[in-house]
Amino acid sequence: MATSRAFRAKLSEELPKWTEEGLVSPETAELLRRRYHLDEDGGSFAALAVYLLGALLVGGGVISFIAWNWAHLPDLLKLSGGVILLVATQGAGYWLWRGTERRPGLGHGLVFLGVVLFGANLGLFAQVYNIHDHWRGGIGAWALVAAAMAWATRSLPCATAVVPLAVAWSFGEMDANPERASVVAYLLTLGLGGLAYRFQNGVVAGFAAIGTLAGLMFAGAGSSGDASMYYAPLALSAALLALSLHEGWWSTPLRRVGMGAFIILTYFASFAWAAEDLGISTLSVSSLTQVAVLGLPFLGLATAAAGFRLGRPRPLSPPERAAGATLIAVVALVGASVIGVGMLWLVANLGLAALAGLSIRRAVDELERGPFWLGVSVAGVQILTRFLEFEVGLLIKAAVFTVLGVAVIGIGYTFENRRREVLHAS
Amino acid sequence: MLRKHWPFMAALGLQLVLLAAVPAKKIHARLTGTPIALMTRPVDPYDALAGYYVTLAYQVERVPPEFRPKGLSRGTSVWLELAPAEPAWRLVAVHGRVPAVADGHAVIKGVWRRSEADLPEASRLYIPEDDRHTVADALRAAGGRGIVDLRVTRQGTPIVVRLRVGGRTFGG
Repeated sequence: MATSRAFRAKLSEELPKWTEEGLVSPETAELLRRRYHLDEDGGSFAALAVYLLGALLVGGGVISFIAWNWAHLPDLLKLSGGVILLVATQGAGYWLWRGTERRPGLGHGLVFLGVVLFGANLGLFAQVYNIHDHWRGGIGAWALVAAAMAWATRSLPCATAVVPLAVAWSFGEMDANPERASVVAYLLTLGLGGLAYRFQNGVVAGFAAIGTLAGLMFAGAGSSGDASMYYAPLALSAALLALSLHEGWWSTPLRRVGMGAFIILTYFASFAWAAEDLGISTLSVSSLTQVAVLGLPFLGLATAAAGFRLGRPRPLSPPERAAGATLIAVVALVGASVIGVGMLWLVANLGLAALAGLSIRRAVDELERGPFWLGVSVAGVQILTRFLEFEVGLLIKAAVFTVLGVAVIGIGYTFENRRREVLHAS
Repeated sequence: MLRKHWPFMAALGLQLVLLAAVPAKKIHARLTGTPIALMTRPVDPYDALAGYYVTLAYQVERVPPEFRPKGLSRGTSVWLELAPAEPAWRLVAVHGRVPAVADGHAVIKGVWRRSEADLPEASRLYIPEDDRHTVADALRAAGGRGIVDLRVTRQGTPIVVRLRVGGRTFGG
């Protein structure tokens, strides 16, 4: 069950008082403790954040120091000094964190710093031996080391660091070998998917999903332009939304990333000129092949995940309903682009309007702030964009903008007032 | 003890192996390679200095028409055969694979670019921050020309050792 850190901290604080006041029995309190993992070390999060920030700054300092290329030390001393610093930092960090367990936050920070220092050492070796033409391999090795350390110590910061490094490696590989872009994109997807599965953590899953989207877009951009860049990420957003229909540690981050990607991509297709470039019916055979290679497996995954979810009897929760509606819109978008350009433009606009309407409806029913402002923002931006896209008189524009602005303020004010009243009454 | 902590030991060991693998070919070239010297092309000293390294372009990269191999596509590997000369080694042949070179000759690996060869593994010399203005001044005074000392293995892997320009030596 995905619960926020703030909720667990508050529950942890309140539970002893409830037990003392007789509101819950000691057995129930124990059950709640176990259910929400209250005994796990979560209090040191702020301290860990400080240590990680410190590690990043020290790592940046060491990298700059190496880039300065001090001339007075012999090469062997520089290289051995760098390696000894790396081993000592990681060794001391691991000892403090997992050995003595006396200073876990500091130890974890040092292990993370050690991974940053590996990158600094790569720079040092490249500098001393005048190597610069294998930078992709260097970034790939750095990603591999961050992944190995994350696996060995179960360090979330190390796992998170893998994502930008792996994405940078994949960009370099795809740029140098465009004919292998699809293979690299799938390697990235498998690697980041495996990382997210190994850690079963929302932050890592969210970053991995964003990294995979970026990799797919880059693979499409290098091959056949807009259409490949568009449909593979759209199919992935459908897969993320379908997976988020299944409850688990992944549902919230995958829903957020999937929904965000869907909104951005659909917004792009809602322009008539963009829809013309995106129509599948207008693509060449090679572009269509690329779209199929990159997009169809994700669309298949989306269909399978949604199919399994629909086979379960439990009714959908409000976020699941929103994800489901968006998923239908994604499939409609792809279908519309196969049929014709005009349909794609229309379906994209209808999809955005439906998303905005469903979000606002859900927000009013449940009095939730997030979907309310999401719906109002999507609807507002969509209406504004359509008025800017098409030539209309300045007087009409002025009237629409003013009415829209007043409407957003009025609706927002009414919603917030109602929410406050209901919360106050309860 | 070891059984409990082996994942961490393995992660640490992987880093050491990777760091050792990075310069392995270059160390091999430095220890066993044939010493050669190549003349750089005239370059604008400020273009040559990007960051704190000197970008090196060589005269041997300009392949005369009689040496240009046929049927090579852009981006494929080539091996430049070099013969000793003064003040720098000169190009005597271009091969599409590692050649068996004559006694006293050496090969350096490059990449084919239509009518020229690039030597990407020998195109950069890192310099200390304090030397950057000195290098620029020396290159300007020498008309952008310098001599680069390298070592190359039999397979053509180069390592840049030093740059000599206007009586000054940088690197190495």
